[in-house]
Parts: sequence; structure tokens; C-alpha cells
Amino acid sequence: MSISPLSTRDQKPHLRLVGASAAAEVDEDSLEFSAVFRRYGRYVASIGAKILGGAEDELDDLVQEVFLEAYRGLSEVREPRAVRGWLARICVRRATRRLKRRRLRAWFSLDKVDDARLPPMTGANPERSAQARAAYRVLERMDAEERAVWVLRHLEDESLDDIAAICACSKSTVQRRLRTAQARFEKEAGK
Amino acid sequence: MTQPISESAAIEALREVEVAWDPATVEQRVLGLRALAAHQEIRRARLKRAASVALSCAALVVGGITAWHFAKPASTAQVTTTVTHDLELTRFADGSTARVAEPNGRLSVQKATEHEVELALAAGSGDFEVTPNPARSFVVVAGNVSVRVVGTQFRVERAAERVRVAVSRGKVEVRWPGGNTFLIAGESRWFPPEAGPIEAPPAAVSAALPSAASAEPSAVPAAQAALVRGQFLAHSRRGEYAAAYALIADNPSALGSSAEDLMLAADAARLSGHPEQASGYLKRLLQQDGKDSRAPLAAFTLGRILLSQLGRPAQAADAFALARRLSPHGALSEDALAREAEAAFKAGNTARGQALAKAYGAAYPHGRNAASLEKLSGSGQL
Repeated sequence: MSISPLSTRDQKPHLRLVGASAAAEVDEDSLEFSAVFRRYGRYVASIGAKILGGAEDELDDLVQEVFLEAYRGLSEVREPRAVRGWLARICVRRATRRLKRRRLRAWFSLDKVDDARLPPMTGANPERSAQARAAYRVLERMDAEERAVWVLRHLEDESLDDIAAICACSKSTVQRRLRTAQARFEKEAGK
Repeated sequence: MTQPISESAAIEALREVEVAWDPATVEQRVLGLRALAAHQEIRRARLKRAASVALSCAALVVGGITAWHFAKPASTAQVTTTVTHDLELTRFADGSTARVAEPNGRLSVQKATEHEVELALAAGSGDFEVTPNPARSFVVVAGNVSVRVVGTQFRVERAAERVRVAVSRGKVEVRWPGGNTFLIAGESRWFPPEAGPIEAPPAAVSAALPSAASAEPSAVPAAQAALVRGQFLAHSRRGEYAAAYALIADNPSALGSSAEDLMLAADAARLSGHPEQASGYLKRLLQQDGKDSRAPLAAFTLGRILLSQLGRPAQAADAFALARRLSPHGALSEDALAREAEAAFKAGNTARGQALAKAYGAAYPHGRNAASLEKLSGSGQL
């Protein structure tokens, strides 16, 4: 992004291990942009972080892209309850696009996934940090869509129907991707 | 080396990864996003306009070639009522243009004859550039406010029943039920006036008004203003003058009143093709910061704009004279004297021009402008 008011380093969200998320305290029905941002900013950042895997600059840009698109399209949304899914769709679409680009760049430059791509996990015990890093290494090997589905299902507790809507695919495709991801973990665990 | 991990262990570990989201930064982020979105809208609209202009030019070229080959000349009456119109731009046969200035704007041509053009602005804002033509009235109607012009450049912006008119060049007459007034270049105001007999402005507009006495309801919160100013400075320093000017044109209250800000604003306006606005910033700087070290340069630049771009040599001569007075022995004094003489000749004030040329010859006998001024002085005119 050429102009990035959110890119100021001290404003950036970053990943850390915490016990529980803070509850949102905003007007649930307002479709005003700032209310929507307050209500769902953390949610979008959370999905984005889990799909992208913690590169801070990328996450910051992703959140900005999602809400810029939302800013332009919010006037078209009539139902407040639809906003969450709509933002998730934007976020997943843009995050998977970023993952694909990242993978393409890595392929051309023969890059390996390195620790810089993994989320900084301050405050976690070493064992938990190591497990999270190992998990992200497995996620890095998944297809972008497969990874998004896995994150939405297992980390965001979305239903299969909702995931199908968010990822713009059928429920059976969601199930197939989840099975593929599961097989990948089983293969990793069996090594 | 990495440790193998089962799916359930991965889920358990990653569930604890969460974004640290600082609520204290949310307001700032929202303001930043709004400013960025507005900026992107401006850029997108400009790209669309550029594409429209390119298409119009292509259509004109094709049309011209076709006419040259096949068509008989059209009558004058037909030509003067011809308009080319698309979503963004309406171009009249005499060169006057009307543009929708934002994506949701709605502008329609109600009449277009030899003697009268009437446009209706139903929503959003529009920019108008009107070729001088005393024989034809040009009126923009926005709700119950109408703006009547002869030859000028101005913007009309509609917010519900309130209408903002901003004049870049020339003069317009604004009429509303119960009153009328004139606005000149550099002025902008909301209509109907708040204290007038017309219904009150919408709540959003009223809330934005700092006071009833203020004519400019576009004041932005301090944090947003700071963000916009920061972007403006960044664009200016990178030499992106069109983008810099677009920001301050749309957010005038974001611009500081320091000499530095005004000088940068003048540069952005001047170098992005807005000499009238540039001269406004320079005049403001000279009025409020006449003792600032940048004042002589501001006066000199103002003189150049007035002389070369705005065709006002008499005013230009005064600006160059001011530059000399502010810094009689400064780096610009020689050029200011020569330019003042040139401007005086151009304004038809031969006596002043000759006196100044003589003064230049005395002060700088081998100066780089000596020959040209001697020639001007000899002929008494350009």
C-alpha cells in the first residue's frame, strides 16, 4: 500500500498468546462504519492472522484492505447480522490471495518458510510456542483455500454452512478440504 | 528441525493465538481508513475522468474525420445545442464542461439551447467550468438553490437540502428562496444560509458546522485533520502535487496556517494546474506572515503566477514590487525588478515600466535582463 495510515508500527496489531478474548462492547445493530470497525475489527484481524500466519506487515495491510473494501460497500448492506459473514468473506478472499502470491514468490525465489513468517508469541510457555510454530509449519504447506477452511472450522468455530458461504464453495468442498487438511496433519504426526 | 504435531494439538495451540487489539487505537484507525478511502475515491474519480476525456477526444477525432469526409457543415444553432454526455462529463459545444465530482453524484442536463443551459444536481457534487458567453445563461439548480454564472469555474456540492458552492475562478450569483448573493473566486459557502427562512440543514451538516457564523462546514476533527495534513506533506515532499492538492482542496481545514504549509499548498496548487488557488494561498501567507523569511519568495512566486498564468500584469507588477520591498538586497531582488518592469509594460503602464527599466540598468548594468529591458524600454511595449 502506498499510503498506509495503519502502517505506523506502534499502532499495529500483533499476535500474542492470551487466555481469552475481550468482549466487544459496541452497538450490535449499527451499520455506521466506525461502529462496524469497532465491532468486527478484532474478528477480522484474528481470522487474517490465523490464515496468514503472523507476518505483521501483511496482517496490517490485510486488515486495512478489508475495511477499505467494507467502507465502499457498507451502504449496500441492509442487515446488520450479515456484516460479520460479509467481512469474513472479504477477509478470506483477500487473505487467500495473499497466501497464493506469497507462495508464488517463494516458489520463484526458492524460499523456505522461515521463523520470520511465524507469529511472535510473547508470553507463552516455550512448549506451547513450539507447538504453535509446528502447527503453522503444517499450515504453510496447505493450499490457501484448504488452510482458510481449516482455520475457520477449528480456530473460529464456524459451521460448515457458514464456511461454505464465506469461502464461496459448496459444503462438500469444505468437508473435502477439511479431510485433506486432517490427512496432512496425520502424515506430519506420523513422521 | 520442527516437531511433528497432531491436528488436535495444533488446534489447541493455535486457539491461544489471538490478535492483540488495542481499543485505544480504533478511533485513529477509523479516521485513517476514512481519509484513505476518500483519497482513493478522488484518485479513482480522476482516473475515470481522464478516461472519459480520452474517449471524448477519440470520439471528436473520429467524428471530425467522418465529418470532413462525408458531412455537410452543421448550422450554428445545431452546434451550440450539441452536448456530449457520459456518466462523468458533460461537454457543451462552446467548451463549457460539467463533471460529476463523486461516484454517487447525479447531474442531468435540463436545457441546452443557444441562450440557456440549465443543469440539475440531484445528489453529490459537480464541478463546472463555463466558457464566457454573455449571450447565454448557465444555471445549476440544486434543490431550491440555483447558481447562475457568466464565465467561471466552480463546484456545487449537495448534502440533502443544503448546497455548498465553491468558486475557483470568476464570479457566480447564488439564488435561493428569499435571497441571493454573489461569490467571487476563492469563496465558498453553504446555502440557503443557516439563519434564513428556509428549513434547517440536515443534522449531519449542522453538526459539522462549528458555529452559525462559519461559512465552511467541512471542518474535520483534529485527528483526521492531522492525518490528512500528514498525507498532504508526504505527497508534497515526494513531488506528487496533484494528489497533495486534491487532499487540501477537499479538506481545507486540514491545512495549517503556517508559512510552510501555505507555501507547500501554493506549490501543490500551482504545479497541479490551479494557479488561482495557488495565488490565494500566497496572498494569505503574505497577509498573515509578511515578516516570514519565505515572504519575499511568496511575493515573487505570486507575481510570476499573476503575470504568466493568470494574465494580470498590473497585479503582478505590484507583487514583484512587494517582493523587492520585503527583501531589497535579497537573491530575488534583481529578477523581481526586471519582472516588475516587464509586468508594468504588459499592463500598459509604460511610464512605470521605463522608470523601472532605467533603475534596473543603473543597479545592474551588466545584468542578465539588461538587454531585454532596454529593448522593451525603447519600444515602450512588448
